[in-house]
Amino acid sequence: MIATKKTPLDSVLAFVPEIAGEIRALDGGTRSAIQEIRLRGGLPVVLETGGSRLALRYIAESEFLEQLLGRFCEHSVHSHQRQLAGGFVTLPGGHRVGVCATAILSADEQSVVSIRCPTSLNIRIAKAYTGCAEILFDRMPGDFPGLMIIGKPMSAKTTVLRDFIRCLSYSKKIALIDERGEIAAKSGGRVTFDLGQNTDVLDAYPKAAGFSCALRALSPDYIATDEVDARDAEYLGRTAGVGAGLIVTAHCQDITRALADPGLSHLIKEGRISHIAHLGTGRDIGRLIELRVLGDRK
Amino acid sequence: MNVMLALTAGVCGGAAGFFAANRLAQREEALAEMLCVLDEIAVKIRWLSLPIAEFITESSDRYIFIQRVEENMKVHGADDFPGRWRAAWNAAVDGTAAFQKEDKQLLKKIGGGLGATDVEGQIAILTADKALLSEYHDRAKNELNRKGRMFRQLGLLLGFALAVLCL
Repeated sequence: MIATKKTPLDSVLAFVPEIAGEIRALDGGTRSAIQEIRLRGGLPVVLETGGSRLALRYIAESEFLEQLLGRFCEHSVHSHQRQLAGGFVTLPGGHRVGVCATAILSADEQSVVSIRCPTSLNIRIAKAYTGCAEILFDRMPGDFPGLMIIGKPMSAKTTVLRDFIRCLSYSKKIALIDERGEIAAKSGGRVTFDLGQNTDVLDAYPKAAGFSCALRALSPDYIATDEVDARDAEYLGRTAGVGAGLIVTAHCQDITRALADPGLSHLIKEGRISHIAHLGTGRDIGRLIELRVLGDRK
Repeated sequence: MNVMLALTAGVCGGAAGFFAANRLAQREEALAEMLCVLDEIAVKIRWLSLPIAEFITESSDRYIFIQRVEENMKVHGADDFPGRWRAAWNAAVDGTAAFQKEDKQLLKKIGGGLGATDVEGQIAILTADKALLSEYHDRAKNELNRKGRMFRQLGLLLGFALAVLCL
């Protein structure tokens, strides 16, 4: 069990003391409902509180955004290079900061190698809701080939995945590929969030490299990872028969669209996914809307 | 009385010579240490992508300069990391008496650039800065070899001359 004195919001505000006073002056209910802090160049800072938004008086000037990005990287851009090229930085505690900026392209102009001049930053506050996946866990069979958790953005997919891993980890060995460092929020060789007794974390590994490493070295019952896209799905689809189940999340509006998605359906056709859990957003954030069993596949 | 005065003058002259030679040796040593620091930073960035904060914690027991930076960072505790880092690095440069003006200018520039770019950028900047710092170090070494002995001998000679005058 990991005990922390600071709330997740406090750990974020430690990086942005300029707005801490204004946020701390809000009532407790509003404060605890804050999901995102949005900073856009030349505009007031906006708090997203699950369906509603609240503008602060503080104006985030572009110089401030530059300065803030330096703080988030702890003045070590080289250590966050891959994340920045991917448009985000993960803060200690697993809080993900989305970065909108000007892209610096590779010589062949096919990939983003870095960024400069941030125009907006979106700080997503990572919170652990212990027990939020218990309904889903209770409805799953003891052994299953694969689970895909889907939902729109801001449907708490990562939070539910994290808690599902915690629940499952008491009976199964899980290898977690934490590409963005926000599921486990590893810091100094220890994980920040409770992931159960039998979870091994491959921190910052790209999915394909992490998958190979997990299979070779960790003999997992399940391999879990976050935010699978079409390219990942194609790779993971080819790994049928490796002997480890899959637990993944994916951005998708509903189950019908997930089944029709050419990328995600690849995983399903290959028998890597047996269950799809659809999560709600807004007032139903993180709530299990539907759990569909896709047939008896092993 | 005259003998005492002659002895004191002799010792003072000799000490002045040794002090001047020691200043040269200190500069050479400090620059040699900075070359090692830059080498280690480059390795840690290239192979481990180690953040600057971790580099300071890891290597403060090996390098006096980095130890000073670490101590200075505690003094500037209220600022954010980039602000603290810059202030602490610059204060450590200014606080090292052995560095000359040109060393200080270069080292402040190096401190300002550390952590500001991606890995390739860091390695390129560090290589260029290290080449310049090596030049300074070579000059300091030559100066030490040439002038060090001369200062010591001049000091002794001056001391001896003063002693003779006193007698």
